[in-house]
Amino acid sequence: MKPEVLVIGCGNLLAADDGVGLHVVRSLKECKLPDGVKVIEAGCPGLNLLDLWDGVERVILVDAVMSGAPPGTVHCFDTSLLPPREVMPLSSHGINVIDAVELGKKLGKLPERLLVVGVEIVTEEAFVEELSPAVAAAVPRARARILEEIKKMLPAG
Amino acid sequence: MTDRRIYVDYIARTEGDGAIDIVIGPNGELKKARWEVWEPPRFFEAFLIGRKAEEVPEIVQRICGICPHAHHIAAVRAVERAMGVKVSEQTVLLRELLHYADWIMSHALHVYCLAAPDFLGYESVIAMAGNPDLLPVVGKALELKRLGNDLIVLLSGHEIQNRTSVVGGFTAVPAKSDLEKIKERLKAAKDFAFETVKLAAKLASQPPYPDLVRKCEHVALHDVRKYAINDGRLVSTEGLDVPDWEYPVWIIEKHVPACNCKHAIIKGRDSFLVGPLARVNNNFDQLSADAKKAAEEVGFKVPCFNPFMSIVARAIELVHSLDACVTLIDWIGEPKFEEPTFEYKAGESYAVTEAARGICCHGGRIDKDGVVQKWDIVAPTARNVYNLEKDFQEFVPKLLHLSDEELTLKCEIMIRNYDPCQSCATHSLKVRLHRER
Repeated sequence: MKPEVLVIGCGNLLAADDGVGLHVVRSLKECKLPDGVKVIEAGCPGLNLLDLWDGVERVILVDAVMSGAPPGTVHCFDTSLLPPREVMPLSSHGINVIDAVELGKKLGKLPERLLVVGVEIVTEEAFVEELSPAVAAAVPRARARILEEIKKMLPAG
Repeated sequence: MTDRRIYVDYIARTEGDGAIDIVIGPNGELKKARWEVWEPPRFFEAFLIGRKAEEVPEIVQRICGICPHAHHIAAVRAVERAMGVKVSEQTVLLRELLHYADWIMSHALHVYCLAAPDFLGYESVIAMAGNPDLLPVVGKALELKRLGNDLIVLLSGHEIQNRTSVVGGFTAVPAKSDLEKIKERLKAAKDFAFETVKLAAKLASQPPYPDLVRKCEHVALHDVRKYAINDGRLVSTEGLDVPDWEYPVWIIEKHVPACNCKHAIIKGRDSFLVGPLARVNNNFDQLSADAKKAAEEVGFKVPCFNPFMSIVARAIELVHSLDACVTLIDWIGEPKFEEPTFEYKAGESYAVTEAARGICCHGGRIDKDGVVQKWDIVAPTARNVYNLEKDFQEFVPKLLHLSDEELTLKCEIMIRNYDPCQSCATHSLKVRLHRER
């Protein structure tokens, strides 16, 4: 059965704040989630994103963002408002989430609703597992935002 | 007088980070042609020491997200050889099937998403998909890649790293009904694989590529009975023919400055090429009948020493891989669960597999309690770095009439011919072109 809402966490747990999307979805898994919600830790999925959300209508992507906002800022935007490629650090090599979304758009393989919940990060230093304090503090806020968005996405009742 | 310099930092559409640095003197003489692999070394060989032998194949597949199974299978076979572990025929077949699934995924990705945009003049596959004529092709390419991924998941229980193949065998086997379903998809993908060979041949036939031939030694695994992927003797177009476990005797490596990747030569000789072109050159007879037919249809003849034809060799291997998977599924029949078993025994050995981008070697020494005393890993790109620099030395002087921008792109294509995986190779993409005017 395809989930009603799919939450996909992206990032690299070994590159400091880059892994914040995974930290957020892990904390989300500890909550009691409504039926029909599925959470995936995708790491750096590249084009596999198109396969992960294949057949799902509502998707929330959780990832690190670098936009110049204060560290720990929780962004929430529709993919129509995705920033240009260079703004999001994302996958360590090759094809990043923005590329996957752009290609998905061209191929007609985007979910009906695709929301990005992003956390503004400070550093992507390699071989560091801990989040910066400001980013770690944002994890519960990002989780709360996702829960709120899930509620809006699920049909009433 | 100034030098003309081509420098590309962070070469796109390759795995890992590296740079190209080329300096051309005022009279068109090549003063420097280097491929610098920047990707930091990751010390896998060091932290495997003291681990239990059965952990090695599990850990080393994490070296790479594109060819994890090449690393895994080389390591599992090296461990089994060192400890004298025998595995069943079914295990051998399942490992081959797993590795071919990896080739399908990797080759589809490379031909369409990494190499084709170069030849067609697009910045990326996304830009390429903007062309309405090419959009359906990109869609089919991604379906083919998906097919490879789905087969990997079916066999290994995971999208990337395998969870089932271990020292001694498999902890879980797929159901015959699932294999049969995927077999139908493999057969259905053949037409598109044939189209891929035609497209690749068309791309590589554009000037100046057909004139860029450089004879060098091509090295691959070889098995007279079948197209070698997980096992075989190490052979070359210059007559090398040795058991794969003698790898460290015949392939000599040295550190070079400004590069985190060692340079490799054949003992007593020079640089060499590994990868699909080397395999097709050494093993053409063992290709599937349809793969040979596809090669003939586009006029591909072996031996071929034009590195730009690597994309054609890769496409031919796509056809072969689909056929090989169908055959393997038939041979496997109804997979039966066999408990993987082994006993620790002191020993030392090496094993070589053919990663999608060329031979991948693992091996080392294990003590009587199964503790790793020493482990060596040599990834394919490491072997190709020195050979690529020789390509630069040969081809750049022939392309000096091009603008810096065009020459830079050609240098990037020369690198991508090798489908390099710099992350694996480190133990380095920037092109820096410097011409004296």
